[in-house]
Amino acid sequence: MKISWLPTVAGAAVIATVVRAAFYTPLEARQGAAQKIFYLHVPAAWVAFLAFFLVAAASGVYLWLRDIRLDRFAESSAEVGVVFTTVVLITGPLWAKPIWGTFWAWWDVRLVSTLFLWFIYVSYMVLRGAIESPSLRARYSAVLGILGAFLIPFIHLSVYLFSTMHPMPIVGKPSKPSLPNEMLLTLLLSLASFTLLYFAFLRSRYRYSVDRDALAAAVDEDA
Amino acid sequence: MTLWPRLSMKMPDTSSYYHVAYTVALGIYAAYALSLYVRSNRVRRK
Repeated sequence: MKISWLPTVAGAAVIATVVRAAFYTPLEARQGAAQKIFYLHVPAAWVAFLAFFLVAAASGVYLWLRDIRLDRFAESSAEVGVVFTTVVLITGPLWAKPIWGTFWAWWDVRLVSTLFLWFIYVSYMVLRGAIESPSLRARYSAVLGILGAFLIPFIHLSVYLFSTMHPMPIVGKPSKPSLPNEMLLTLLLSLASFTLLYFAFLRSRYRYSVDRDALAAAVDEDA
Repeated sequence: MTLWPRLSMKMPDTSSYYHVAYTVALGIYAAYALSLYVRSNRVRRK
């Protein structure tokens, strides 16, 4: 059995990060253990944004060059992005319940716009499944992939633009990160390891779409 | 009333939410990795 280095390294990095977060990172005084959810939630949000930004970039270039590899890349990145956004939407409320006293607030723009982002890329996947013609499928989904990514800067800036319960950025901001060094190091490690996991998933998903398309082409030739 | 409220502050027990969040999140990643593995093998076998 051949072992691929990227998934192996990514898996080991994620395990090391979780061990560090669980056993070697101090508890926050006011939130207790729930604060450690932050080491899963923030990297998942960062990776989701990266994934959907790359969907939009690949889709834009696809509409220009009409190269099927870009469509496969966008399709793969969108699926992986949906997985990470699902983690964001589950870990966020699990942190919010003990800290805010509620799982969800429908008036909070950050929360609701993130849910919209998830719906947009789930519909992107549904759209792809509903169109048979490969060129039409690629074109329509490219347009949706680009439009969906316009939500990303809005979601990031929503905590500044609206009154929300969601905490302000503590690392992704113009001034210095406001976090003790041990916690900051754990956060940076988790950002790196989950980014690596994204690329491992993306590569596997892309290879799957190449094999699937080759199989479909072989079936068409036989018919 | 104490002079050092931070030191005497009782830390809330929020560990059940932390355990559920880690279990669910890592479970989702593992399930997705498994689904990629199964789908890839199914296509390659055909």
